[in-house]
Amino acid sequence: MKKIISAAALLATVLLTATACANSGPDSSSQGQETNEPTVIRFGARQDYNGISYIDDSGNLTGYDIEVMKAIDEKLENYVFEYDAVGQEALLTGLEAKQYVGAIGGFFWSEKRAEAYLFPQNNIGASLACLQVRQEDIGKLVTLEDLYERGGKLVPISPISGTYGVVVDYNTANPDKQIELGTIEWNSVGTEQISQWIHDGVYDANVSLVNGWDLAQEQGVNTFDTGIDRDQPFTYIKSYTLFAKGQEAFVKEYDSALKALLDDGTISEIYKRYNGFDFLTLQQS
Amino acid sequence: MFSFSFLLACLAEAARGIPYTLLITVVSISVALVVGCGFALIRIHKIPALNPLVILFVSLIRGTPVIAQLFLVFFCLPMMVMATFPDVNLYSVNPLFFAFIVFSLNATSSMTEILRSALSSVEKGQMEASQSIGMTNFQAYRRIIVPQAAVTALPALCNLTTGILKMTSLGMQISVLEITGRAKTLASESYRYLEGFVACLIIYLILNFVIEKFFRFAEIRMKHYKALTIE
Amino acid sequence: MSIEKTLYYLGLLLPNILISLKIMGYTFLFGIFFGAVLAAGKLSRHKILRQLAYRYTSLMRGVPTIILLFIVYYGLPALLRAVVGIELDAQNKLLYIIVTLVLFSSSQISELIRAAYEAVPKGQMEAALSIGETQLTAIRRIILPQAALVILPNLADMIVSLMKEAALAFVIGVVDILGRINLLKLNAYGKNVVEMYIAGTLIFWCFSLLTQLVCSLLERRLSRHKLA
Repeated sequence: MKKIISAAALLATVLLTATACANSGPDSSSQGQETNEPTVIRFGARQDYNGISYIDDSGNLTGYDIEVMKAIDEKLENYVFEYDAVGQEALLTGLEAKQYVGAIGGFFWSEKRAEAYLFPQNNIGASLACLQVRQEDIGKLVTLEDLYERGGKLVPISPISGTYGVVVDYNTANPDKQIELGTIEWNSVGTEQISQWIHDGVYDANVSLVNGWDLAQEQGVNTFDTGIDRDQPFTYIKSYTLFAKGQEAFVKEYDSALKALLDDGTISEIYKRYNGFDFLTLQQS
Repeated sequence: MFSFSFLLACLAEAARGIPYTLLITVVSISVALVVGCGFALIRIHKIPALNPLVILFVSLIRGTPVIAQLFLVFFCLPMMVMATFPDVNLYSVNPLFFAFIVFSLNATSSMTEILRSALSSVEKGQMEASQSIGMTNFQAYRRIIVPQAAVTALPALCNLTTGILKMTSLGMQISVLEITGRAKTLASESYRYLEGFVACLIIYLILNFVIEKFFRFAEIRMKHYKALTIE
Repeated sequence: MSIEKTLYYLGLLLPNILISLKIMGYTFLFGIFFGAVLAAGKLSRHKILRQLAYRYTSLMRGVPTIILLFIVYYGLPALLRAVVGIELDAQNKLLYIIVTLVLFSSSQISELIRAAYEAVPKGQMEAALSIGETQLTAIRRIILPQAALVILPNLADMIVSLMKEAALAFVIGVVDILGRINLLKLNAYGKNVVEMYIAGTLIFWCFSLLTQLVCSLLERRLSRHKLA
């Protein structure tokens, strides 16, 4: 028993030392600014979030969030952004160990998350959430409450997905109308498998993001006669680039650059390119 | 920053997954011991027709990624079965069942190789000697060959058991909530994966320690069988 | 399921086998080396060496490889920077994955080597020494060929499992065969996943069959050394 504890303690120490001696932040490398050389900011980025931050078929990191980050990089002359494309688990482990300044890939706010990381004032993107249901249920099963009243089953969701938080929030707000929430790995099943499950009656509904749904349609995914009612999204999720604690100064600069890009329409333009509709109208409604 | 109170929360949550992890491991290893023993004998005695089948089975299962097997068994198997037998509803089956299938297959394929290698490391002369003093084949296996082979196989068996134990962390692929799945689920609520993974690490180290102690104990208990080969 | 699509994905996935092979090859080479060192430690007369080797093995067995990878990928560069001031090349991700897998696999290989060594009856060593062979030649000519026969199937198993283990690299963005499947699958929202997996499975299976074939040929050659 002692051996285990000492071994675990050893490994934990290695991790903690790594955290402690991490100096990837711009704060610690202020000499860079004196010599007028831009400071390198190392971001981690998700490699597997299609449309947002992903590696495309030719092996390049791309997506809406990445495009916006590149625009921000151009705005911030004192900094050069560097991206390390990794999986979600590695990304957040690396961020918590302060090996990255920030993490890119559509992260969602929650109180607990805000205790652990810095969320900028401005969100980088936003998504509308709908319920994906069988054809005959479209218009009838619109909100999670409808699903509860029907006694329907919800497709398991990966806990790293933003839609997972939507259901958790709902369950917290409606303790007497709980929906059973199963979990599954992010990369396990895709839209096509989920559609088939719903079609076959294994489950009754899936929380689906409108932009993700559109991208899936573009790929020609077989949706097995299921669909979403895109005029009746039941909620709206803001997504952020996440920063490690201690980067307050840099986040301020990031925020003002992001605000400027929001104001001059650059972000709307990028959003339209990826989603086909306007970001700003979405954010205001 | 690293939060110890959250680490404790993760430990508590991950610990709830231990029964699932252990159940899958024990079931797979048990199935593998029985079936693998048969397969190993088929391989050693080169039983016609069956031998090539076992070779194919072993290379297919141990050669292909578990994650692909999980997907094919979890998603395609129910559909294929239900297309043939419409009355069977495999969708309502607990995903644990699919985990049993996949991990048992994997344990069996490795077990076949381990036992084959161990059994054939016992000299042929011993079989002949046993027969010459009037033992039946079965008796020779039970009393002479198997105990010696078991000693040789133990380290590899220990490797296999801990390997399967860790392999079960893929359970979340098919929504089985074992240790890693639970820790990751809790961690994602606050995006604090570091604590979640350290919690997993501690639990796997403890489980591994226990398994290893068990095999060390078995090895020491059986050491005297090994003495037979030396004299 | 369609055969054409499977063939299409086979073509897409095949180039990524190079990454898998690279990771597996380096890991295996270094794994054998460090595994042999560890096994020597386990069989040594010094209590401290023995203890160290055993503790290392048991530690590595317990650590899930993904956690080991995080420690190597995020901990090692920071540690080296702070302690010795060396800056590791962050771009060379293959390095991290190989270090991780060597750390892990050498412990397993050491167990295989130890078991194989112990499977050869001790009397043989004594006999060899008694006819005037030195310890080294005795090991080389008597013990090794017999031990090799015991260890060979396990080593083949190791090669095949390392090939699969290489998929761990995808966690930090190195795209092997499975990583490619993952990307294709996520970018296609689950379309044609069955074909992708079948294509991937075929590649891995062929590799496994090939390894088995080589292994059984070697086994036949080595069997000459086996006592009747």
